[in-house]
Amino acid sequence: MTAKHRTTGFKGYSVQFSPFSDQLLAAATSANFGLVGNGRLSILNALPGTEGLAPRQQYDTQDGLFDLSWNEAHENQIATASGDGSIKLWDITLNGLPVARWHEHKREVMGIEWNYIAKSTFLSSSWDGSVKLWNPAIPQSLRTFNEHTGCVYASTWSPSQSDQFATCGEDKTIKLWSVNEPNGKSLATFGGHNDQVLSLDWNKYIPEQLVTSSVDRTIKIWDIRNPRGQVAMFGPFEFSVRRVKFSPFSPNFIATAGYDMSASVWDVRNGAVVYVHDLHKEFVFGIDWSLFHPGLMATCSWDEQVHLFQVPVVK
Amino acid sequence: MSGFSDLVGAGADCGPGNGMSGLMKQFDRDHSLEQATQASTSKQAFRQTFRQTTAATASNATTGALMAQTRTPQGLNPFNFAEMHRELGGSRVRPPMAPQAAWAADFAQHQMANGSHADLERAFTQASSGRVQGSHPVWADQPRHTNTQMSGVAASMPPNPMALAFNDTRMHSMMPGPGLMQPGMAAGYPMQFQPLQQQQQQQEQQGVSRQDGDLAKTAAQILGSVSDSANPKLKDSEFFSLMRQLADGKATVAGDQVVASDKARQDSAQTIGNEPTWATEFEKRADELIARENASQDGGLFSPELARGLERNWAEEFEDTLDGPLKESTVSGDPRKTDVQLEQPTSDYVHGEASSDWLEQFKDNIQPMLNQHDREWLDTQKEWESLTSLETSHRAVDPELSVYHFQRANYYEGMEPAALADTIQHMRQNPEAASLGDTIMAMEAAVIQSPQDAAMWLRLGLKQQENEQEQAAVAALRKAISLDPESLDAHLALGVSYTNEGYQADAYDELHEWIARHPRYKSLVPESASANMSNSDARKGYVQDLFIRAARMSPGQDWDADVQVALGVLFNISTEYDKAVDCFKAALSKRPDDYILWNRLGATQAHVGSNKEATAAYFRALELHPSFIRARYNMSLASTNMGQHREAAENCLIALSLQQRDMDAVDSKGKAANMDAAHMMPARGMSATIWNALQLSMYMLGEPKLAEACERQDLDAFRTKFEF
Repeated sequence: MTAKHRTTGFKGYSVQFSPFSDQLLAAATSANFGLVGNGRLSILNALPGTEGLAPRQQYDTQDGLFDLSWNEAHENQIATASGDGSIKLWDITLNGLPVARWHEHKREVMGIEWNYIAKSTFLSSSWDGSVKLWNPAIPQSLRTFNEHTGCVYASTWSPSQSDQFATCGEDKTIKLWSVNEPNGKSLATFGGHNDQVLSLDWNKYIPEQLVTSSVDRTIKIWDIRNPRGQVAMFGPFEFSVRRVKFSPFSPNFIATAGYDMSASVWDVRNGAVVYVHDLHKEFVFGIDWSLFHPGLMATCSWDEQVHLFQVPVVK
Repeated sequence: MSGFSDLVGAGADCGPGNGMSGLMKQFDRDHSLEQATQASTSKQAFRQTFRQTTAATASNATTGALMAQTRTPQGLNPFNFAEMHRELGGSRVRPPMAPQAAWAADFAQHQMANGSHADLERAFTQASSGRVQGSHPVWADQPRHTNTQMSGVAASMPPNPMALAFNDTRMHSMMPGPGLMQPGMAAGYPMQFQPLQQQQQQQEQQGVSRQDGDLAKTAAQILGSVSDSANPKLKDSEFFSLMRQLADGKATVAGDQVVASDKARQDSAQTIGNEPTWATEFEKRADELIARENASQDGGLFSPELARGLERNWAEEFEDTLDGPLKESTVSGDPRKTDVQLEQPTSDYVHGEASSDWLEQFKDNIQPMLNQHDREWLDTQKEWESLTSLETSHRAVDPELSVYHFQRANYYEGMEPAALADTIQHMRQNPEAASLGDTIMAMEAAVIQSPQDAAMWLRLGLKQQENEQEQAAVAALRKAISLDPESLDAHLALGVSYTNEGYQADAYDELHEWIARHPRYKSLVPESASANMSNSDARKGYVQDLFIRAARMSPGQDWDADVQVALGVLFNISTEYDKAVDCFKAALSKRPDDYILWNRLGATQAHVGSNKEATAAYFRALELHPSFIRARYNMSLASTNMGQHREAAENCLIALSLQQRDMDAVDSKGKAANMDAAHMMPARGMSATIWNALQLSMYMLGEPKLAEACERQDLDAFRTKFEF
């Protein structure tokens, strides 16, 4: 059974469950497929057992919204990444305007990621090639990491070391960083994808394992101890994967969403697809795992739908 | 062929921050189908398109926002298009003179320095009057909404028409937003504005057809990039429908809206009155097409000619045929959704408004129909491809791994075989006297002279492992195994190399090979061995179990060090480091002089955070082999982890000076043999890594100057403060 909600007029780019409540999720959406026009942040109530998705609030923005991240330290706050280069912080107990706004990126902000260990900071990754570290209470960015030679699409925090994160981008590389590195230089660079790397995530149980998806239509698993080559590769598929996420409950499963207009769950040990969610009618851009209910997932797509569904729990 | 992304390849210069170019970035791209020339020209064309479109938009936005500002009551909902539309409509009747004057004055002020303000002012007047009269073909009817910043977040901002105008412009020209703008920054405006005005003039003369054409081309290419897909969802996709409209010039991007173009409006007016819907237009076209398709022959796609193509890559073949007049090709909607009744499901690919040469080419290459049978074949092929691709996971499939790359110049090459054998023998007996690079060079010369010498290949492989050149080690060891499949040491060593490189599946295979060939343990291997290697989980359990049983065959103190080493490696793969430590310790009790094993023990201990124990193990390795660079470096890492940065730095410096000595030795021998050192690759594999570690220690020790010396790789700079 799949619960559905239509974000009428707005194409879904990213969806995320609240880390505080098992009944809240948020979706970042854009009009006109994100080409031009407005954005909207939708807050949804998830009824228990995928009974339904009820709209709770929505916040409109001037430019499209491409990503969002719940504040790990504040249950009512969400940061959004916008097409005009701005980052906004919203409080879902208030209506209308954001509670904070930062504008340092010169181009579209594609990814935003709250640190879930050191919960006072978050990262933004932008098409201007930079990655910025922020504290919601400080009006300027704390640090800027400029090393990618093209757009940066996504970042992910290490689950074991509060200062470490990884980024990926147009320059086909994955870079490993520490926010404490004195020169703002990366610790390591991983090459091996043949095209832009769109998405990445850190295994929550194996502190040295990363997964990436690329325009070269493959998914690769990496061991950060060995920057020279990947551990495993899946694909090439017919279409590339837009977003890839490790399960919060198991070291062995990833969820993918992509240009094949479906979402899938994979066993990374053998590359087997264990579940396919095929109800979307356009590209699927956002996917997330519930942190409370194993196998509960949300997706959002350019078909203006947010879906909530239960994947059978596999070991 | 091209997908979205090659239209915007080059990063920071991707042109103005525009959503469309961004979209292109994210879409799929197929390298196998890429054609360099087309891709590059279309990329440029697309950027240009957007620069121009942007300019036009911006200028209009300028005036639009101006008018909106004067006419819009405060507090108007910025998203209420209808109301905005009325407001704009009103202002169209009578130009709002006051703000225009203010603007012009403001503008003139900025332009004064250039002395050209009069012209520009005229240009501006023209531009704005054009807008006011509604003569602009694309934008005239489009309601625009004001910026949120205007009525929202930055409501406290003084109502400065200039700033507002630019607020909108910024979106497309990377200008900083007014909310962040400092007064002094306004100086940037004229430069930004001038080209916009000029372009506006050009636009008025040329119309907007050109950029629309480029946009259409891009959209057509996006369609082309998926034209070989059998995914049924593509047909019904709203996004691809939009791409089709863009491709046909029936929609365009104006401001922040996707709108119907004039062409579409005319077309639809001709067919179905005034209702400008794409659906109707589309159906009409689809009807024509299906009629045409029905007239032509169905099926028979897999002609002999095409079957050959299929063997190479069906998709590529198909794509190539599409590549030329791609602009004209479209993937149309589901025929069943049209009003035409079809006897049979004819096609996923219906082409529309085809130019005659395209049609000819298309027919020549393939019949444009896929019948049910053909489709099944395609699906089967895709399925098969996806199955085989899974085999590559955790596998060392890179063909480079089987090729051993010799150094281009080798001063041992001309040596007599007997003398060379002596030299190598001497090096093996005195590992401290010979540098690693030198030893590898000699061994390479030996295998060049006698390529069938499996034992020498094995030695070379082991030395390359020591040299941290795992790829070369894998190549040498594979060669050794191909010459002598029974070489147990080679299998074990290759298993270690695979583990280091992360090719876990291959590591399990090699260790299995080892045990299956071992005279003492091969009886443990069941006949159905291959069945147990089918998936990674089963493989891990099965191989580990084999080795544990092998270990149990030698009870008491009589254990086999090789089995313990292999078990240690296996437990490293499965990240059971505690067990691995026990295995290595057991092996070391039998082989206390194996410095590589001591280093491996230390590295495993470091994994579980036992830095102190790890240091002791590295120390033992270095006692046995003082020039063991890897152990030096590992020791420095362990020191860093314990916060002993000075010790860490010293170990790095020793490692670097050892490498320096090594390189100097090779260099001088090379010079003596009249060879270019550039053609030799001495053991400098880890050098950059060590310099980085050293730099970090310098920062931790508060020595920023020495940290800079690391950038230059200046070893001598450290001699005053450190001993090494």
